[in-house]
Amino acid sequence: MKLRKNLVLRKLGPNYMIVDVNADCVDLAKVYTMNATCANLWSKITEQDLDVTPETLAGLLCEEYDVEYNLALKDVCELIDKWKINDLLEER
Amino acid sequence: MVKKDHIVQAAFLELLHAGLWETDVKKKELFPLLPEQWRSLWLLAKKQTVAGLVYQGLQYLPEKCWPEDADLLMEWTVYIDQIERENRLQNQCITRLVRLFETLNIKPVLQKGQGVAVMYGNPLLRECGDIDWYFPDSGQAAKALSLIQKQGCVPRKRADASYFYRYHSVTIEHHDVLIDVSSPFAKRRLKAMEHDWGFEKIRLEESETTVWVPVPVMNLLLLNIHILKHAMGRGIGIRQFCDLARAYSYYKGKYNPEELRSTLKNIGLLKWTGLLHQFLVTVLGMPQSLLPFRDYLDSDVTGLWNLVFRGGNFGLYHSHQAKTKSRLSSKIAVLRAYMAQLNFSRTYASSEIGWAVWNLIKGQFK
Repeated sequence: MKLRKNLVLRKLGPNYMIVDVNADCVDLAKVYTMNATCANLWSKITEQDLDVTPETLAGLLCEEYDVEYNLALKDVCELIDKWKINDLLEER
Repeated sequence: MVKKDHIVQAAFLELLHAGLWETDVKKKELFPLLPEQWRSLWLLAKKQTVAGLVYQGLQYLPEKCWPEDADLLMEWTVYIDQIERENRLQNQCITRLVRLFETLNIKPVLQKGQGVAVMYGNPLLRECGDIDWYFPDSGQAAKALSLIQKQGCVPRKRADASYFYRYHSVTIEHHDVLIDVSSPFAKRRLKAMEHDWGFEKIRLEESETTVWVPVPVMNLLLLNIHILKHAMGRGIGIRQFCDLARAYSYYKGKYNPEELRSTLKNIGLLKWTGLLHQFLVTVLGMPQSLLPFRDYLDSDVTGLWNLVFRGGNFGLYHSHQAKTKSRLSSKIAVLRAYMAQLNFSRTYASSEIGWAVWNLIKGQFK
Protein backbone atom coordinates (compact mmCIF):
# COMPACT_ATOMS: atom_id res chain seq x y z
CA MET A 1 0.00 0.00 0.00
CA LYS A 2 1.08 3.57 -0.69
CA LEU A 3 -0.21 6.96 0.34
CA ARG A 4 -2.73 8.18 -2.19
CA LYS A 5 -1.27 10.46 -4.85
CA ASN A 6 -2.34 14.11 -4.95
CA LEU A 7 -2.93 14.37 -1.23
CA VAL A 8 -0.97 17.29 0.17
CA LEU A 9 -0.13 17.62 3.84
CA ARG A 10 -0.48 21.22 4.98
CA LYS A 11 0.74 22.85 8.15
CA LEU A 12 -1.52 25.57 9.47
CA GLY A 13 0.02 26.99 12.61
CA PRO A 14 -0.10 24.19 15.17
CA ASN A 15 -2.38 22.06 12.98
CA TYR A 16 -1.73 19.65 10.14
CA MET A 17 -4.39 18.97 7.53
CA ILE A 18 -4.96 16.97 4.38
CA VAL A 19 -7.67 17.98 1.93
CA ASP A 20 -9.27 15.17 -0.05
CA VAL A 21 -11.32 16.54 -2.92
CA ASN A 22 -14.03 14.35 -4.36
CA ALA A 23 -13.10 13.95 -8.03
CA ASP A 24 -16.75 13.90 -9.09
CA CYS A 25 -17.71 16.98 -7.12
CA VAL A 26 -14.90 19.40 -6.32
CA ASP A 27 -17.12 21.36 -3.97
CA LEU A 28 -17.24 18.38 -1.65
CA ALA A 29 -13.99 17.99 0.20
CA LYS A 30 -12.99 16.02 3.26
CA VAL A 31 -10.40 17.44 5.60
CA TYR A 32 -8.27 15.19 7.82
CA THR A 33 -6.42 16.65 10.73
CA MET A 34 -3.26 15.08 12.13
CA ASN A 35 -1.00 15.58 15.10
CA ALA A 36 2.66 16.48 14.65
CA THR A 37 3.90 12.88 15.00
CA CYS A 38 1.51 11.54 12.34
CA ALA A 39 2.33 14.46 10.07
CA ASN A 40 6.02 13.75 10.49
CA LEU A 41 5.50 10.12 9.48
CA TRP A 42 3.37 11.19 6.51
CA SER A 43 6.09 13.58 5.32
CA LYS A 44 8.81 10.96 5.57
CA ILE A 45 6.76 8.38 3.67
CA THR A 46 6.02 10.93 0.95
CA GLU A 47 9.59 12.19 0.68
CA GLN A 48 11.04 8.66 0.41
CA ASP A 49 8.06 7.22 -1.51
CA LEU A 50 7.88 4.35 0.99
CA ASP A 51 5.37 1.51 1.17
CA VAL A 52 2.96 1.91 4.05
CA THR A 53 3.64 -1.19 6.16
CA PRO A 54 3.59 -1.52 9.96
CA GLU A 55 7.29 -2.43 9.95
CA THR A 56 8.34 0.59 7.87
CA LEU A 57 6.33 3.04 9.95
CA ALA A 58 7.43 1.52 13.24
CA GLY A 59 11.04 1.77 12.05
CA LEU A 60 10.59 5.44 11.18
CA LEU A 61 8.96 6.10 14.53
CA CYS A 62 11.81 4.44 16.45
CA GLU A 63 14.40 6.44 14.47
CA GLU A 64 12.80 9.72 15.48
CA TYR A 65 11.40 9.08 18.94
CA ASP A 66 12.48 7.27 22.05
CA VAL A 67 9.89 4.50 21.83
CA GLU A 68 10.06 0.72 22.14
CA TYR A 69 9.66 -1.11 18.79
CA ASN A 70 6.72 -3.33 19.84
CA LEU A 71 4.79 -0.37 21.22
CA ALA A 72 5.53 1.60 18.05
CA LEU A 73 4.32 -1.36 15.97
CA LYS A 74 1.03 -1.45 17.88
CA ASP A 75 0.51 2.30 17.43
CA VAL A 76 1.27 2.36 13.71
CA CYS A 77 -1.08 -0.58 13.09
CA GLU A 78 -3.89 1.54 14.55
CA LEU A 79 -2.76 4.49 12.47
CA ILE A 80 -2.67 2.47 9.23
CA ASP A 81 -6.17 1.17 9.99
CA LYS A 82 -7.39 4.76 10.36
CA TRP A 83 -5.75 5.77 7.09
CA LYS A 84 -7.37 2.78 5.37
CA ILE A 85 -10.82 3.59 6.78
CA ASN A 86 -10.42 7.21 5.64
CA ASP A 87 -9.35 6.09 2.18
CA LEU A 88 -5.94 7.75 2.31
CA LEU A 89 -4.11 4.68 0.98
CA GLU A 90 -4.09 2.98 -2.40
CA GLU A 91 -2.61 -0.11 -4.03
CA ARG A 92 0.16 0.85 -6.44
CA MET B 1 -16.76 49.84 13.71
CA VAL B 2 -14.53 51.92 11.45
CA LYS B 3 -11.59 51.19 13.70
CA LYS B 4 -12.26 47.46 13.50
CA ASP B 5 -12.39 47.65 9.70
CA HIS B 6 -9.05 49.44 9.71
CA ILE B 7 -7.51 46.72 11.85
CA VAL B 8 -8.71 44.05 9.44
CA GLN B 9 -7.35 45.98 6.44
CA ALA B 10 -4.03 46.59 8.17
CA ALA B 11 -3.74 42.93 9.19
CA PHE B 12 -4.71 41.85 5.67
CA LEU B 13 -1.95 44.00 4.18
CA GLU B 14 0.61 42.75 6.70
CA LEU B 15 -0.09 39.13 5.75
CA LEU B 16 -0.19 40.05 2.06
CA HIS B 17 3.25 41.70 2.32
CA ALA B 18 4.64 38.65 4.11
CA GLY B 19 3.17 36.29 1.50
CA LEU B 20 4.14 38.42 -1.49
CA TRP B 21 7.73 39.06 -0.46
CA GLU B 22 8.20 35.94 1.71
CA THR B 23 9.32 37.98 4.67
CA ASP B 24 8.45 38.07 8.33
CA VAL B 25 5.26 39.82 9.48
CA LYS B 26 6.42 43.23 10.69
CA LYS B 27 3.49 44.61 12.71
CA LYS B 28 2.94 41.56 14.89
CA GLU B 29 1.12 43.73 17.43
CA LEU B 30 -1.92 43.65 15.11
CA PHE B 31 -2.34 39.95 15.94
CA PRO B 32 -4.13 37.89 17.11
CA LEU B 33 -7.40 39.16 15.68
CA LEU B 34 -10.84 38.55 17.10
CA PRO B 35 -12.68 35.60 15.49
CA GLU B 36 -15.01 37.92 13.53
CA GLN B 37 -12.01 39.96 12.34
CA TRP B 38 -10.30 36.80 11.07
CA ARG B 39 -13.51 35.94 9.21
CA SER B 40 -13.60 39.46 7.65
CA LEU B 41 -9.93 39.20 6.69
CA TRP B 42 -10.56 35.84 5.02
CA LEU B 43 -13.50 37.29 3.06
CA LEU B 44 -11.42 40.29 2.02
CA ALA B 45 -8.62 38.00 0.82
CA LYS B 46 -11.13 35.99 -1.24
CA LYS B 47 -12.77 39.12 -2.64
CA GLN B 48 -9.38 40.42 -3.75
CA THR B 49 -8.40 36.95 -5.07
CA VAL B 50 -5.25 36.85 -2.97
CA ALA B 51 -6.34 34.16 -0.49
CA GLY B 52 -3.31 32.08 -1.51
CA LEU B 53 -0.84 34.88 -0.90
CA VAL B 54 -2.40 35.80 2.44
CA TYR B 55 -2.29 32.11 3.39
CA GLN B 56 1.40 32.17 2.50
CA GLY B 57 1.74 35.21 4.77
CA LEU B 58 0.05 33.34 7.63
CA GLN B 59 2.99 30.94 7.64
CA TYR B 60 5.19 33.83 8.83
CA LEU B 61 2.98 34.53 11.84
CA PRO B 62 3.84 32.99 15.23
CA GLU B 63 1.52 30.07 16.00
CA LYS B 64 0.05 31.81 19.03
CA CYS B 65 -1.30 34.52 16.70
CA TRP B 66 -3.12 32.13 14.36
CA PRO B 67 -6.93 32.05 14.08
CA GLU B 68 -8.43 29.70 16.63
CA ASP B 69 -11.54 29.07 14.57
CA ALA B 70 -10.99 25.50 13.28
CA ASP B 71 -13.84 25.83 10.76
CA LEU B 72 -12.25 28.91 9.23
CA LEU B 73 -8.87 27.19 8.95
CA MET B 74 -10.47 24.18 7.28
CA GLU B 75 -12.39 26.40 4.86
CA TRP B 76 -9.20 28.27 4.02
CA THR B 77 -7.21 25.07 3.55
CA VAL B 78 -9.79 23.59 1.20
CA TYR B 79 -9.77 26.84 -0.77
CA ILE B 80 -5.96 26.76 -1.05
CA ASP B 81 -6.11 23.18 -2.22
CA GLN B 82 -8.56 24.20 -4.94
CA ILE B 83 -6.35 27.10 -6.05
CA GLU B 84 -3.43 24.70 -6.48
CA ARG B 85 -5.57 22.17 -8.36
CA GLU B 86 -6.91 24.86 -10.69
CA ASN B 87 -3.39 26.08 -11.40
CA ARG B 88 -2.27 22.55 -12.23
CA LEU B 89 -5.32 22.13 -14.46
CA GLN B 90 -4.49 25.37 -16.27
CA ASN B 91 -0.89 24.31 -16.80
CA GLN B 92 -2.11 21.00 -18.26
CA CYS B 93 -4.51 22.89 -20.52
CA ILE B 94 -1.73 25.19 -21.73
CA THR B 95 0.45 22.17 -22.46
CA ARG B 96 -2.34 20.50 -24.47
CA LEU B 97 -3.04 23.68 -26.43
CA VAL B 98 0.63 24.39 -27.14
CA ARG B 99 1.00 20.85 -28.52
CA LEU B 100 -2.18 21.22 -30.53
CA PHE B 101 -1.12 24.56 -32.01
CA GLU B 102 2.35 23.19 -32.76
CA THR B 103 0.81 20.64 -35.14
CA LEU B 104 0.15 23.58 -37.48
CA ASN B 105 3.26 25.51 -36.49
CA ILE B 106 1.13 28.13 -34.73
CA LYS B 107 3.04 30.11 -32.09
CA PRO B 108 0.71 31.92 -29.70
CA VAL B 109 1.97 34.14 -26.88
CA LEU B 110 0.72 33.62 -23.34
CA GLN B 111 -0.54 36.88 -21.80
CA LYS B 112 -0.34 37.35 -18.01
CA GLY B 113 -1.85 34.39 -16.08
CA GLN B 114 0.45 31.39 -15.70
CA GLY B 115 3.21 33.35 -17.39
CA VAL B 116 3.12 35.76 -14.45
CA ALA B 117 2.57 33.04 -11.85
CA VAL B 118 6.13 31.79 -12.43
CA MET B 119 7.34 35.11 -10.99
CA TYR B 120 5.90 34.28 -7.57
CA GLY B 121 7.72 32.44 -4.80
CA ASN B 122 4.99 29.80 -4.91
CA PRO B 123 3.34 30.01 -8.36
CA LEU B 124 0.60 27.55 -7.45
CA LEU B 125 -0.78 29.87 -4.78
CA ARG B 126 -1.57 32.66 -7.24
CA GLU B 127 -5.27 32.53 -8.04
CA CYS B 128 -5.76 32.05 -11.74
CA GLY B 129 -8.35 33.44 -14.12
CA ASP B 130 -8.67 32.60 -17.81
CA ILE B 131 -5.95 31.56 -20.22
CA ASP B 132 -5.26 34.44 -22.61
CA TRP B 133 -3.46 33.78 -25.87
CA TYR B 134 -2.22 36.50 -28.16
CA PHE B 135 -1.67 35.69 -31.84
CA PRO B 136 0.79 38.14 -33.43
CA ASP B 137 -0.09 36.84 -36.89
CA SER B 138 -3.69 37.18 -38.09
CA GLY B 139 -3.36 34.18 -40.40
CA GLN B 140 -2.23 32.02 -37.49
CA ALA B 141 -5.07 33.40 -35.35
CA ALA B 142 -7.63 32.22 -37.94
CA LYS B 143 -5.95 28.81 -38.21
CA ALA B 144 -5.98 28.45 -34.42
CA LEU B 145 -9.72 29.17 -34.27
CA SER B 146 -10.42 26.64 -36.95
CA LEU B 147 -8.26 24.06 -35.16
CA ILE B 148 -10.11 24.64 -31.91
CA GLN B 149 -13.47 24.22 -33.64
CA LYS B 150 -12.30 20.87 -35.00
CA GLN B 151 -11.71 19.86 -31.37
CA GLY B 152 -15.40 20.47 -30.69
CA CYS B 153 -14.97 23.86 -29.01
CA VAL B 154 -17.35 26.70 -29.88
CA PRO B 155 -15.50 30.03 -29.92
CA ARG B 156 -17.66 33.12 -29.44
CA LYS B 157 -16.70 36.65 -30.39
CA ARG B 158 -16.68 39.47 -27.85
CA ALA B 159 -17.33 43.17 -28.44
CA ASP B 160 -13.55 43.83 -28.34
CA ALA B 161 -13.02 41.33 -31.20
CA SER B 162 -11.47 38.69 -28.94
CA TYR B 163 -12.78 35.09 -28.90
CA PHE B 164 -13.51 32.87 -25.92
CA TYR B 165 -14.43 29.23 -25.44
CA ARG B 166 -14.25 26.45 -22.86
CA TYR B 167 -11.54 23.83 -23.16
CA HIS B 168 -11.23 21.04 -20.55
CA SER B 169 -13.28 23.13 -18.09
CA VAL B 170 -11.07 26.22 -18.50
CA THR B 171 -12.05 29.47 -20.24
CA ILE B 172 -9.63 30.30 -23.05
CA GLU B 173 -9.43 33.65 -24.83
CA HIS B 174 -7.79 34.53 -28.14
CA HIS B 175 -6.68 38.14 -28.63
CA ASP B 176 -5.40 40.02 -31.65
CA VAL B 177 -3.60 42.71 -29.66
CA LEU B 178 -0.89 42.25 -27.05
CA ILE B 179 -1.34 45.51 -25.17
CA ASP B 180 -4.82 46.94 -25.32
CA VAL B 181 -4.51 50.72 -25.61
CA SER B 182 -7.02 53.08 -27.20
CA SER B 183 -4.76 55.90 -28.40
CA PRO B 184 -3.72 55.20 -32.03
CA PHE B 185 -0.33 56.76 -31.39
CA ALA B 186 0.29 54.49 -28.38
CA LYS B 187 -0.95 51.52 -30.43
CA ARG B 188 1.61 52.21 -33.17
CA ARG B 189 4.45 52.75 -30.71
CA LEU B 190 3.71 49.55 -28.78
CA LYS B 191 3.26 47.52 -31.95
CA ALA B 192 6.62 48.76 -33.21
CA MET B 193 8.24 47.75 -29.92
CA GLU B 194 6.62 44.34 -30.17
CA HIS B 195 8.18 43.89 -33.62
CA ASP B 196 11.57 45.07 -32.38
CA TRP B 197 11.67 42.98 -29.24
CA GLY B 198 9.66 39.89 -30.02
CA PHE B 199 8.99 37.29 -27.36
CA GLU B 200 10.83 34.84 -25.15
CA LYS B 201 10.21 31.30 -23.97
CA ILE B 202 9.62 30.32 -20.36
CA ARG B 203 8.94 27.03 -18.60
CA LEU B 204 5.73 26.76 -16.59
CA GLU B 205 5.60 25.60 -12.97
CA GLU B 206 5.80 21.79 -12.53
CA SER B 207 5.85 21.41 -16.30
CA GLU B 208 8.23 20.55 -19.10
CA THR B 209 6.25 22.77 -21.45
CA THR B 210 7.78 25.99 -22.67
CA VAL B 211 5.57 28.83 -23.85
CA TRP B 212 6.14 32.17 -25.51
CA VAL B 213 5.61 35.26 -23.36
CA PRO B 214 6.40 38.96 -23.97
CA VAL B 215 9.97 40.07 -23.24
CA PRO B 216 10.42 41.77 -19.82
CA VAL B 217 9.92 45.39 -20.92
CA MET B 218 6.79 44.47 -22.93
CA ASN B 219 5.43 42.34 -20.11
CA LEU B 220 5.89 45.24 -17.67
CA LEU B 221 4.04 47.53 -20.06
CA LEU B 222 1.31 44.93 -20.50
CA LEU B 223 0.78 44.52 -16.74
CA ASN B 224 0.91 48.28 -16.15
CA ILE B 225 -1.60 49.17 -18.89
CA HIS B 226 -3.86 46.25 -17.97
CA ILE B 227 -4.23 47.76 -14.49
CA LEU B 228 -4.88 51.20 -15.98
CA LYS B 229 -7.61 49.95 -18.33
CA HIS B 230 -9.46 48.35 -15.45
CA ALA B 231 -8.87 51.28 -13.09
CA MET B 232 -10.39 53.61 -15.72
CA GLY B 233 -13.41 51.39 -16.14
CA ARG B 234 -14.85 48.42 -14.31
CA GLY B 235 -12.45 48.53 -11.38
CA ILE B 236 -9.41 46.58 -10.33
CA GLY B 237 -8.37 44.20 -7.57
CA ILE B 238 -5.14 44.07 -5.61
CA ARG B 239 -3.96 40.84 -7.29
CA GLN B 240 -3.14 42.69 -10.51
CA PHE B 241 -0.90 45.07 -8.54
CA CYS B 242 0.76 42.06 -6.90
CA ASP B 243 1.49 40.70 -10.40
CA LEU B 244 3.27 43.90 -11.40
CA ALA B 245 5.18 44.05 -8.12
CA ARG B 246 6.40 40.47 -8.56
CA ALA B 247 7.29 41.23 -12.19
CA TYR B 248 9.47 44.18 -11.12
CA SER B 249 11.22 41.88 -8.68
CA TYR B 250 11.58 38.99 -11.14
CA TYR B 251 12.80 41.17 -14.01
CA LYS B 252 15.23 43.26 -11.96
CA GLY B 253 18.35 43.68 -14.11
CA LYS B 254 16.72 41.98 -17.11
CA TYR B 255 15.36 45.10 -18.84
CA ASN B 256 16.37 48.67 -19.48
CA PRO B 257 14.49 50.98 -17.03
CA GLU B 258 15.14 54.01 -19.23
CA GLU B 259 13.47 52.31 -22.18
CA LEU B 260 10.42 51.56 -20.05
CA ARG B 261 10.34 55.14 -18.79
CA SER B 262 10.73 56.73 -22.23
CA THR B 263 7.96 54.53 -23.66
CA LEU B 264 5.58 55.41 -20.85
CA LYS B 265 6.44 59.09 -21.20
CA ASN B 266 5.96 58.90 -24.94
CA ILE B 267 2.48 57.41 -24.67
CA GLY B 268 1.45 59.82 -21.90
CA LEU B 269 1.37 57.36 -19.03
CA LEU B 270 4.30 58.53 -16.90
CA LYS B 271 2.09 60.31 -14.35
CA TRP B 272 -0.16 57.25 -14.05
CA THR B 273 2.90 55.05 -13.59
CA GLY B 274 4.13 57.33 -10.79
CA LEU B 275 0.84 56.74 -8.97
CA LEU B 276 1.09 53.02 -9.67
CA HIS B 277 4.64 52.89 -8.32
CA GLN B 278 3.62 54.78 -5.20
CA PHE B 279 0.82 52.25 -4.69
CA LEU B 280 3.21 49.31 -5.05
CA VAL B 281 5.58 50.82 -2.50
CA THR B 282 3.12 52.13 0.10
CA VAL B 283 0.34 49.56 -0.14
CA LEU B 284 2.19 46.40 -1.19
CA GLY B 285 5.45 47.09 0.59
CA MET B 286 7.55 46.78 -2.57
CA PRO B 287 11.14 47.91 -1.92
CA GLN B 288 11.86 51.23 -3.67
CA SER B 289 15.03 49.65 -5.04
CA LEU B 290 12.87 47.60 -7.42
CA LEU B 291 11.35 50.69 -9.04
CA PRO B 292 12.67 51.38 -12.54
CA PHE B 293 12.40 55.17 -12.02
CA ARG B 294 11.01 57.60 -9.48
CA ASP B 295 8.96 60.14 -11.44
CA TYR B 296 5.74 61.33 -9.73
CA LEU B 297 6.46 59.26 -6.63
CA ASP B 298 4.76 61.89 -4.48
CA SER B 299 1.33 60.89 -5.85
CA ASP B 300 -1.54 60.46 -3.41
CA VAL B 301 -2.75 56.85 -3.60
CA THR B 302 -5.94 57.37 -1.57
CA GLY B 303 -8.25 57.39 -4.61
CA LEU B 304 -6.68 54.28 -6.10
CA TRP B 305 -6.73 52.56 -2.71
CA ASN B 306 -10.48 53.26 -2.37
CA LEU B 307 -11.10 52.00 -5.89
CA VAL B 308 -9.26 48.75 -5.19
CA PHE B 309 -10.84 48.06 -1.83
CA ARG B 310 -14.32 48.98 -3.05
CA GLY B 311 -14.10 46.96 -6.23
CA GLY B 312 -12.23 43.73 -5.49
CA ASN B 313 -11.22 41.46 -8.32
CA PHE B 314 -11.69 43.45 -11.57
CA GLY B 315 -14.37 45.52 -9.86
CA LEU B 316 -16.67 42.50 -9.71
CA TYR B 317 -17.87 43.68 -6.32
CA HIS B 318 -18.79 47.21 -7.47
CA SER B 319 -22.43 48.08 -6.92
CA HIS B 320 -22.66 49.48 -10.47
CA GLN B 321 -21.28 46.28 -12.00
CA ALA B 322 -24.41 45.13 -13.80
CA LYS B 323 -24.85 41.87 -15.67
CA THR B 324 -25.45 42.86 -19.27
CA LYS B 325 -26.74 40.82 -22.16
CA SER B 326 -26.59 42.61 -25.49
CA ARG B 327 -23.54 44.17 -27.11
CA LEU B 328 -25.18 47.60 -26.89
CA SER B 329 -26.03 47.33 -23.22
CA SER B 330 -22.53 45.99 -22.62
CA LYS B 331 -21.07 49.10 -24.27
CA ILE B 332 -23.37 51.37 -22.28
CA ALA B 333 -22.22 49.67 -19.09
CA VAL B 334 -18.57 50.26 -20.09
CA LEU B 335 -19.32 53.90 -20.91
CA ARG B 336 -21.01 54.38 -17.53
CA ALA B 337 -18.03 52.83 -15.80
CA TYR B 338 -15.70 55.20 -17.68
CA MET B 339 -17.85 58.17 -16.65
CA ALA B 340 -17.79 57.13 -13.00
CA GLN B 341 -14.00 57.17 -13.10
CA LEU B 342 -13.63 60.22 -15.35
CA ASN B 343 -11.94 62.52 -12.82
CA PHE B 344 -9.36 59.88 -12.00
CA SER B 345 -8.74 59.04 -15.67
CA ARG B 346 -8.46 62.69 -16.76
CA THR B 347 -5.88 63.31 -14.07
CA TYR B 348 -3.66 60.33 -14.78
CA ALA B 349 -4.33 59.18 -18.35
CA SER B 350 -6.16 61.96 -20.18
CA SER B 351 -5.21 60.91 -23.68
CA GLU B 352 -6.06 57.27 -23.10
CA ILE B 353 -9.50 57.94 -21.61
CA GLY B 354 -10.31 60.39 -24.40
CA TRP B 355 -9.51 57.80 -27.07
CA ALA B 356 -11.24 55.02 -25.14
CA VAL B 357 -14.52 56.94 -25.00
CA TRP B 358 -14.17 58.05 -28.62
CA ASN B 359 -13.56 54.46 -29.80
CA LEU B 360 -16.55 53.23 -27.83
CA ILE B 361 -18.88 55.83 -29.38
CA LYS B 362 -17.39 55.46 -32.87
CA GLY B 363 -17.75 51.67 -32.69
CA GLN B 364 -21.44 52.08 -32.10
CA PHE B 365 -21.96 53.67 -35.51
CA LYS B 366 -19.90 51.19 -37.51
